Amino acid sequence: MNDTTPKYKGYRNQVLVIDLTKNKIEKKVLDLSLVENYLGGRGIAIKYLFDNLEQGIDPLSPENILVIGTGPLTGTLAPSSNRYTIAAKSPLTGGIGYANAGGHFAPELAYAGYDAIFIHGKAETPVYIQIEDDIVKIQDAQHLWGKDVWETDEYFREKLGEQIQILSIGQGGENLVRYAAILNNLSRAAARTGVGAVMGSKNLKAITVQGTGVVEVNEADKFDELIDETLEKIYADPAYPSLSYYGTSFLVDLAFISGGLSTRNHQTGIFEHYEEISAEAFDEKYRIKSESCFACPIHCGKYSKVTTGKYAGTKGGSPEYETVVCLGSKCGVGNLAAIHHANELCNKYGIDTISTGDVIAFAMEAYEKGVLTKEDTDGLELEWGNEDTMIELIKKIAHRDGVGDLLAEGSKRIAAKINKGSEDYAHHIKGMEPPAYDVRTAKAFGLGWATATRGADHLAALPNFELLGYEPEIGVEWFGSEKAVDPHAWESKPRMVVWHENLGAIVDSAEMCKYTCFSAYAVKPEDMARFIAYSTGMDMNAENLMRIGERIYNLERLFNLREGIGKDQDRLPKRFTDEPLPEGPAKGQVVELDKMLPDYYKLRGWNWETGYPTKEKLQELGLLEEAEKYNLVSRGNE
Amino acid sequence: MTEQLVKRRIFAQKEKCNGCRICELRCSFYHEKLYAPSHSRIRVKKVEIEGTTIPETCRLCYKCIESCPEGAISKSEITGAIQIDEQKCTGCEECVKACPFGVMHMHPVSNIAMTCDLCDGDPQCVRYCPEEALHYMTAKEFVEFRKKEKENIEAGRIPKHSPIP
Repeated sequence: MNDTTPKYKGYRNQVLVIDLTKNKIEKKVLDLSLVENYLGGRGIAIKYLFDNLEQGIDPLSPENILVIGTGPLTGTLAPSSNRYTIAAKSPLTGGIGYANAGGHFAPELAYAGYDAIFIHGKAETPVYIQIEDDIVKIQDAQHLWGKDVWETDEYFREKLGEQIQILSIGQGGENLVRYAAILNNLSRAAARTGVGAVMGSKNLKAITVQGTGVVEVNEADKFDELIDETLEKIYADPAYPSLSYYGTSFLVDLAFISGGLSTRNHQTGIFEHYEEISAEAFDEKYRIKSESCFACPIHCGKYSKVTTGKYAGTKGGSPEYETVVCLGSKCGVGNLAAIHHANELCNKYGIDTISTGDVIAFAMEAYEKGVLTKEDTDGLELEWGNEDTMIELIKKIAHRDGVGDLLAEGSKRIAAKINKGSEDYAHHIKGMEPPAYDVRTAKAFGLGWATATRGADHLAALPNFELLGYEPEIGVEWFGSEKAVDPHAWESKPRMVVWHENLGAIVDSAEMCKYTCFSAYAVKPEDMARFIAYSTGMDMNAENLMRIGERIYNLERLFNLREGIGKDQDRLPKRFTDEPLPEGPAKGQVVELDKMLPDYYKLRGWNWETGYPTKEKLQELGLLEEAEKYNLVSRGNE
Repeated sequence: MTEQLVKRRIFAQKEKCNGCRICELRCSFYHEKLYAPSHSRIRVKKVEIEGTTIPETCRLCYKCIESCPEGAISKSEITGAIQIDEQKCTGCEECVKACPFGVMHMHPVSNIAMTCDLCDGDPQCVRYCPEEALHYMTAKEFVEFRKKEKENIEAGRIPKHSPIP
């Protein structure tokens, strides 16, 4: 790259393309049309994967590609804007897989001078990638294979210095657990869709980064004024005090109050031990301090220690809301110390706490129903609330030991193997296990789970709007209906979900945190457009930006369609559509999915019969060429 | 007669610091209009496994002044902050070795010594710390502040952990 290469500020204008099979490292200039159309992170990942992955490949084969992407605000002081996305074809769903995490890795990669890393092939023996500014090497990691994430972290910090940043997998990724995670800063997990297994399948143990460069923005003063303006809005958010002080576990209370605290594999939304796993209990017993992602004023992360009892010695980044529920009430476990310990194990082994908890909850229900017996479970007793069993199963899953080998496959594949009606309560969407909130109490969330491109995913839409207790007229103003502010209502929710999904795609591509945009909506599309314009010098407005979000979402949809994941998989597990919540404030509620889906398709510009985007929509988004390449056009207009 | 210098420095409460490093970026932005921890005068030292994060700030001990063979380092008469004469600095790093607190750094591009100049009396790291873990105070003021904070915590007026701004 020389001085005459056209470039935008805010980006590093350089990417790494690494082929582990050929042991080859290339530095390439960032393609400007790529960021103009797809912005960064999640957006450039789907474009690269769509263009470069062969259709129908095995996600755990060397043909898969692992993409690590940052965005146009990475390394700057834009609030909560230092996340990154890791993407690949998912070994859990067979469709688009991506996961997103904070911590301090993304800015370090930016300071080293790279916007993204594209990793092809498979190393013959375990390796790690070492990046020190412009020096990039593929190094031997055979001595690290078998070590957990924390041991790996300790090794690199001793060898290369305490202040470097590290991405790594643990035994979960090495053993190809289909929901293995990739971690940085010990407890920041790019956890969903099994990206850790893809990294393991490439014999790639870790990536270390040290960057001493700078990030400059195009209009520094305007950018800085916008930061001040945004900080005021973030600090004024009613959720800010709880989020910054307790972290996301304060949501345990809110979920309980709404009757949607997922309990015993989603059998109910009321958990009798909720107080024992609440944020107050956490604060009283384990909280040490906040542990923030880079340059984040919200700092929802917490550091904690368990100092007494059988789990004494457990420490590290505290379990956030999803983990507290998935490894807590979802398995019937009401001992917060046990949840902390289970969380620490998942982080060390590198497996997704959501899928892990959900798989164990499913196994517990199968045990309750007699479908799994002690003979199948290596003698373990899987009754609800058995924390010893839960912890033992986490170890077995990560090592694929005994019954762990089956559970490591994920709920969909487990049910296909054990049968006996278990598919009815093996909750998954497109193959991925659901998160920690009972969507029967929040219908936009329910629709968002069903339509999310990566499977059961609370973050694709994250339509918090319906939960924030707004006045009905705000609902009319934003989504054309008073019902928009009622979480139990289904009317107007398709519009809400489409808007949130498109915005979410931009947030993930700018690599901001959804808490700046989806909690009291402190950062709106027009604010994001200003951030991006001031940072990069691009001509950007809210409309263009939302169009980019829509393009990303549709290209992910096309990726799934070409891999055979279509309309028939925009479904919710039966429990959420057919079984009314049995008790509590949302008693009797189900998700009226079939009432919402037609409107959703219409708003998306997708054919209702086939689920394919119409030709007009593809044209509008500039995706016709992509669709034509795989014969995906005609079915949209059948 | 000149007024007696009131020596304020930056005090850090490491138990409150969450390691967000906003201070580092505020520093590099104020001084150079760019974002780069490697250009920052304040650095947060983190011990990952223990969750400890310690903002390293200049204590104004002036050992660097004594160590400089070129006479390039002096004390601001207004704030008492360290001043570096960039024309005189040769990049010999004697001051880096002399600093007991590890807060004297070499600028990664110019290779000239750099350390906290207290932003001419309005330290940006203090102003923007979201945990109020940094304080620009005299030693006496800081002792008073700590005393008052402790009383408030014991009386339950503020949480036992970090405050909410």
